[in-house]
Amino acid sequence: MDYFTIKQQFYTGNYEEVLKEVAKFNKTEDETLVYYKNRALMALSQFSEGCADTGTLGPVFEAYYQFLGKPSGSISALETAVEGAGRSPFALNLLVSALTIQGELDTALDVAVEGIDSDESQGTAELLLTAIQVTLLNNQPSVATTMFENFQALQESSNEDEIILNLAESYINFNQGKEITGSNFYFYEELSQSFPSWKTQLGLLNLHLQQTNLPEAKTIIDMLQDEFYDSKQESQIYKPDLLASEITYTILSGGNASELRSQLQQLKPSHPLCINNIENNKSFDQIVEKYSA
Amino acid sequence: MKMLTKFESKSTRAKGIAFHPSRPWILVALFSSTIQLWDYRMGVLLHRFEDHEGPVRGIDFHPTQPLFVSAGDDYTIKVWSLESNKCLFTLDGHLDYVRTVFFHHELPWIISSSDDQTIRIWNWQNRKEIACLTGHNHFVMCAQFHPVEDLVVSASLDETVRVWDISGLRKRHSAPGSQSFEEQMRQQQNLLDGGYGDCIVKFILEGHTRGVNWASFHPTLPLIVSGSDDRQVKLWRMSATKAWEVDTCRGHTNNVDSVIFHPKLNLIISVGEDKTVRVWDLDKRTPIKQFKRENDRFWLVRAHPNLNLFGAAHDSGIMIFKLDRERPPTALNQNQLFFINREKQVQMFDFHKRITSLPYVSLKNVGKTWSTFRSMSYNPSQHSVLVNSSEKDSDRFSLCVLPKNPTGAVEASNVISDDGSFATFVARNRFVVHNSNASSLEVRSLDNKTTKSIKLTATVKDITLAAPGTVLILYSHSVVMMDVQQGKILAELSLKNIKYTVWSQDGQYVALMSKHTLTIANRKLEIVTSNHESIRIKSASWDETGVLIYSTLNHIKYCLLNGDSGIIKTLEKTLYISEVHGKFVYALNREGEVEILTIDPTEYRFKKTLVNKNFPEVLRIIKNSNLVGQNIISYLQKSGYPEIALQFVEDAQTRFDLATQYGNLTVALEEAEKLKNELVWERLGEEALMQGNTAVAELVYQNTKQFDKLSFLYLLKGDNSKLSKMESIAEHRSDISGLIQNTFYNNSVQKRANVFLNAGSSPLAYAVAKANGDDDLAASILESEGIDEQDVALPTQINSSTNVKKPVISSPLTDWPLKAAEVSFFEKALLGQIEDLDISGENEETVSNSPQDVNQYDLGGQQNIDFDDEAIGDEGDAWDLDENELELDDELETEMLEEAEDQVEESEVSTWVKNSKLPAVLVAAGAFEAAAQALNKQVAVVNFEPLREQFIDIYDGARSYVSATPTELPSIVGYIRADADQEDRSKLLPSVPGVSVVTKKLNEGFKAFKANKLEVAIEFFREVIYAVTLLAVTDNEDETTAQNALATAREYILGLSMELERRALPADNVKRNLELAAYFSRTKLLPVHRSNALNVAMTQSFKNKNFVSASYFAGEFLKIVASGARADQAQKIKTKADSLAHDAIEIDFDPYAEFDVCAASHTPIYKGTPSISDPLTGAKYHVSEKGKIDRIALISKVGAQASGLRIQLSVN
Repeated sequence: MDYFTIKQQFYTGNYEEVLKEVAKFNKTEDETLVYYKNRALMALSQFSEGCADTGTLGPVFEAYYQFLGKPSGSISALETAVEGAGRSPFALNLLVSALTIQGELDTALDVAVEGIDSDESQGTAELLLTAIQVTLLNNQPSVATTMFENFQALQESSNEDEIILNLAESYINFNQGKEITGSNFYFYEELSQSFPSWKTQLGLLNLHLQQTNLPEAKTIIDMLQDEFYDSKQESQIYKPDLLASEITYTILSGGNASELRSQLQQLKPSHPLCINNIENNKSFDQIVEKYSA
Repeated sequence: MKMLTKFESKSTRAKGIAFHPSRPWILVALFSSTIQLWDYRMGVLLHRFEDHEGPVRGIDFHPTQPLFVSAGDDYTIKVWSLESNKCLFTLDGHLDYVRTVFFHHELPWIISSSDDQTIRIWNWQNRKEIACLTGHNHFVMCAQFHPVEDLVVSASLDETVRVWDISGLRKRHSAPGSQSFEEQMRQQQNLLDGGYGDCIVKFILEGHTRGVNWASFHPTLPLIVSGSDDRQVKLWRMSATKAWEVDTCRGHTNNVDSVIFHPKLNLIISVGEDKTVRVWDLDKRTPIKQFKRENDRFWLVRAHPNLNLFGAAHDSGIMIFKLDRERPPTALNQNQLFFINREKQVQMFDFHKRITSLPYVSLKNVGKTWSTFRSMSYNPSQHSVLVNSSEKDSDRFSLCVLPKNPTGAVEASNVISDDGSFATFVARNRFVVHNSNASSLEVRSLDNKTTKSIKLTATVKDITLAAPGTVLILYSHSVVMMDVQQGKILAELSLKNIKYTVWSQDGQYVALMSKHTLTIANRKLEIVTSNHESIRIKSASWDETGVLIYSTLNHIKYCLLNGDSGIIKTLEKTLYISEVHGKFVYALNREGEVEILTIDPTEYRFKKTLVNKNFPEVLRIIKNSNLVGQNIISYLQKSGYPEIALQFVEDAQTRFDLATQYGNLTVALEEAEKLKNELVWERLGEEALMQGNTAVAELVYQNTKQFDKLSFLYLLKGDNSKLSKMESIAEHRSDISGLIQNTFYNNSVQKRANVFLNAGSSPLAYAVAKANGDDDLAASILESEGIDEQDVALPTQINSSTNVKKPVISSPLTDWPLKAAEVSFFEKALLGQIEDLDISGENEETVSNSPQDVNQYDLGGQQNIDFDDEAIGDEGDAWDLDENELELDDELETEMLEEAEDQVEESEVSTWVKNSKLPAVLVAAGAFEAAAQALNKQVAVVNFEPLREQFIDIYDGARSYVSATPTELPSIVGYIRADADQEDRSKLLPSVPGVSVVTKKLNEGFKAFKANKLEVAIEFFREVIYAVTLLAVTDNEDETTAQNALATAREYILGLSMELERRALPADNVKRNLELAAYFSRTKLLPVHRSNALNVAMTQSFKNKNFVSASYFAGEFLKIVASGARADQAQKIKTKADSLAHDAIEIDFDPYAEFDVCAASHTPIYKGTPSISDPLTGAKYHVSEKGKIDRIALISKVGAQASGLRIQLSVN
């Protein structure tokens, strides 16, 4: 089966297109289709209970959905469901996601590696992508690089998975400051031209910020705030990241970002920028206290 | 190498050709006795010259004059005028067929060669033969002057080539006016002797084994090339004293009739009766290219004197061709244009900086030596180019990675070359190439591995990039857009022979160009517009507003999306446009150099705004540009905008026509009054009536004296009073029929009856009176006629006239709106009825070359202020600075170790810290505590709260977050570095605010000062100090600027604090008031601001009768402000104060003493008095303030030990 278009649309953040493409297949049992369909539904906040009752992956998504409703709670139900799905890479991907959200990064990585090393062919690239992000969040960029290189060396590269691997590579590059003005920039530039979406535009925006290309960054910010993007379903998911980028942009251009910071704090307190901000303020409080004494 | 045919003519056998030096003309000498003049660019036969009897063989244009010369089998040489197209005169003298004629490049000479075995030189000005060169002992087939030297080369069937020295001839004829009679006689004799002495044989070149048909000099080198019936081309070299055969080019299979050197390249081009044109490598004497005609023997080949064009004469006409393309291959990347110059070097032109780079590499060894590259493609990600070279037998492409910086034409290394055509990058890591053998399109990775192969059906002409991952495949009958990753056809368009494609900047439109057609299509390849061009289209580019600017062989033109097009500029030589921005066109010429042309975009911008109905802009353009001319008026009229056209016209008739066209009666009337023309009035009347504007119609009828129409109009209006006036007018004018008409309108029966009666028609008069019941009148008529009533037989159906009704409206109607003449938007705008319409020139798009406007307050401008920065960077502190640094570093390392405990590897932030320990870098890295320590040690910062925002901003400003996949995972952090291109990890640093932030805040402070918002200003100046505290600069200059800014901020804060204190004082505290005003005037503000402080001090002192002080401050004020109202006032105060010359209140201020002001107590610290300063701001304090918080910036401890602020990056 050719998942090329589905994957292209999914990884460029065009979730409604994903649903349309999935619908074309008229199949409900195929794991890959179920995976992407449900992921897209979740991204669009259109997933609801009983929505994914088909196939082996259905229950896993149900459990994952329950988990997302209460991310601080137990993940044992999800674990059971993953067992039920035979610990397939797709099922494991959801478990890894849950563990990552809980901050159990080491465990998450172990689970991910188990899936990547399995004999299954479907879903390993997807799992690798998640694993790479886990390592980066865990400040282990060299592990990410090694994993990525090993995967590329061992797996037959398939046309449809190319976008996934490229995306994984782009995360490593972004985090490591590699190819800022080179291929990583052009990766996003290409994507934002051929698949203009919130996700790709934000990606390009970040690369412009990394190069301190302020006028270009501003153009994208303005564009994303414009009605066309603002009215899209995806705006709800990506707005916090836009705000985060706007904060960086504002600071780089010498403006005052405090208002934007409080907006982000309200919109998504779990955003890394907010978490860092709280941490930083705490340590600053200590400094103020220490020296005023 | 490619031979590109540009023009062909069909005729009888052509024996000679000549190119015009500047116009696209070619003369063809035909065997049939005719001479043809062609415009080869348009393909038009301009003229036929018929005067020769028998075949014409030799022909040549004069290099500068409108003349040409011909010669033929009638033994004559004819000189013709291109102006009259007539033969001016004939030169007789040859005794047999004349084979060739040529003009001399500078002297008024013609050289001819003839079967009479002579070469003759003629002066065409005095029409005399001046030399006859004898020596050949067979037909002389060709004789030519050397392009610079006084030499002649000739070829003869006697199997020799001869070189003649004619310097003697030049000497004799150089000053013809000074010739004495004897000398002329001698010359005559000399000529009779065959010109011996003037023209001598220099070399006789023997080597050909049959008759020699042609010999040519090399344009610059001492070389001769000859062609002979022995089927060989021979190359000869000569020195000052001898000449010798160099080599022979063998290959022609029949007589070689003509051979020349390529004017620019090291090539020989020969033609012969074997029906071929052959190109040889001059250096290796090897054949390079051969072109064969089916049935026609070639007789002559000739090069264009200036262009890369060649002409060849053959049995059935001529052909004009060029060797290889002259279009430099180009590839655009954002503001960069990559191109390959004539030397096959890759260069880059930067549209922003407008400079061409040095060559990146030389591709001399890539592809075949004599082939130019067909096209190129640039990959910004890999910084590499793909170049395509095209040969008839095989197409090849090469992928060459460019060095990072252009350093000169180094030979390209690590080049991947392979067979395949039209290689083009489609993504940062992919390119496509056409494999013609397999007729497939292959997607390849950067290491040239095929990752995908797509079968194509027809012969591909070219492939161009459409968008990332998408290409346009140009077939001979269609254009196909294909997604190469999926191998899917996205769109298709039937169009023939498309050669070039250019996408608009927003990617919405593509210009598809064939030789003579320009088609614009949208992304779905649906045709938007299509224009035919009679002259060849060469290139195009979209400007930033979406107008296509294109070039033909001799024009720059524009084309709008609605198909409107026009000429912008005439070109003298062909150019290839690569970018258009505003009024600048960037184009490559055939030499491979970028030229910047200036065009006037007004016309097409205007038309475009008109098409888009952007009327405010239309109006703006009209007001702000000098757009005039019949052209634009007829355009506006044709496009249905007469009201806009009206704005351009002054001629009354045109204005009238335009106004009536859209029903503007006001203007029409205005102009009609000027014109006073029957026809004009009539048209105005018609239009007025159509609109129901009775007032104008009335005026028209009055003016044109159309009384009948006027009456009828009044009838329609129900204007009875005017109708009755009309009646009397008619009566007055004795206009009987008009009068009767009016009586009908007015229903004035009596009048009508009287008219009939007076006209002698009493029966009618009677009938009228009777019918309308006017019995008295009827009776009187009967009486006067002497008839009895019974004798009159009236029709039975007679009754009073009821046709004319009384108007139902009380007063006549004035307007009857029929056809609404709406006021267009445009007119409304003109009338000022549109709100928020800004038509001033300010909005005009201008291309600014200058960097951002330089700020009003430039720190550089403050150099004249003498800063007292003793406290900053005092060398005396240097010894303990080192110690502090060491200590600081030790602490840091431990801290970082602690932080990095659970980090296995070196992260970005730890690299930053490793590379620099500046507080700003530490903050960016998140090492807040270390940064705080550093600031405490360096400048004794103890109150950190004001720096909180600074810390947080620097931290956040060095990071950005990319969304994770799936989105519920935390976003991934990326770091923003000072230099995004930095690859050396030991130099990695975060992006932290630079000196520009400081300058910006300082300017904001100045603005607040100017606006008298002193508290706000103080806040800004404090921010300046905070910004400097956490700054990272890279050089001394920036550091000095920052330190100066800090000192300036300190002075302003001090001054403004004192002023605020003064303003808050109770009114009775005059002494303190005067003191503070005086101290404020001593702070080191910008002169323009210090004048404010002095003004305050002056007025306060004067007001409070401290005249001596007032005079002093006025004097100081006048030093800054020398003229104007304020200066006048100061002058008055000074004069007055000087006359009074005493101080009423004694204050603690000695204008002539040196002192600082304590920033806490705002009292003077005179020189010699002990004082302390603040380690950060350098503010001075009385010793009693030691250990307190600095009042200027509120963060540091006064008088504390400190090492000094460090803000300059020095990478460890």
